[in-house]
Amino acid sequence: MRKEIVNVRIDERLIHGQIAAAWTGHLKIDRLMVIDQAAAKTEIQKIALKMACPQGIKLSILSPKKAVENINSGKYEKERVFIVVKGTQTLKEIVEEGLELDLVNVGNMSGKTNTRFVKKAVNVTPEDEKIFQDLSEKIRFTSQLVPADTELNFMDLLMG
Amino acid sequence: MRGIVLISHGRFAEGIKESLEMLCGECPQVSAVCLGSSDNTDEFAHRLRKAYKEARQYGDPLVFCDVMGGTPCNLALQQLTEECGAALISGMNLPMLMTAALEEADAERLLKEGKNGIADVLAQMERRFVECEEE
Repeated sequence: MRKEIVNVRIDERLIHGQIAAAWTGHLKIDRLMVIDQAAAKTEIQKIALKMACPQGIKLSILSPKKAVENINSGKYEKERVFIVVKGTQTLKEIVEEGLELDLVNVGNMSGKTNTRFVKKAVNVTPEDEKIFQDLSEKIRFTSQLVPADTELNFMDLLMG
Repeated sequence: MRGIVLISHGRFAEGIKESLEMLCGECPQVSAVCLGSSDNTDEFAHRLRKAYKEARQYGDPLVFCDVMGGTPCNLALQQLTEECGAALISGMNLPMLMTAALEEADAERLLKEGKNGIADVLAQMERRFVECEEE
């Protein structure tokens, strides 16, 4: 994994209190990168993300393709970048686009009709489960909502 | 890490502690002391003293109250004037509490964070500058 990427998180809420308040300070990041096809194309979502981004932190709102292109070109080499994606689908896409990842943290994935409960704030669909299993050959998945929480091995929770 | 005691009229202190922990994770250094509408003030002062003493194990405690001049604030004031190193801050809100829980911040910084967190959000949207990379 490139050294400028200090954390990668799955969080359906993208930028919110836990990330803005707890994680950005804890990780001492320069840039928050939201990788999301819909957000990159939707003006109102971009406005909301800009409002949620803490002052002094640079923000990127990019599609999977553009994000990976930029990262792999070394554009952020001198920065500390925190990547947030909404769900497993985007994670799969950025890996397929050629982003090398070895560690991903699973944040909020709320319950829906076709999900099963894994742990507090984390629920997965059968599709999510498949992607986690496929990607876990190369990526270690952790589960930690906020820095003060203990880091758990997500695959153990998922398979357990 | 400093000990933190939250005090309020009604259950505000308990509630904001719950919100704080949702954002920052479990905060063992934070305790809440609430004054109910039919509570006796001596008894409240006793609970406050106890919470304050426990908070001291984490370093000089910060006490946050809901409103300046209210009973919780007044009772805390009476007790804390004797304590060196304590701070009593009124108008508690989540931005200042998050800073207190996550960082080593002095009273001045906490006030600044608390004030910065108050905004006319829609109006600020026009003025706020974020360096943003888009497609």
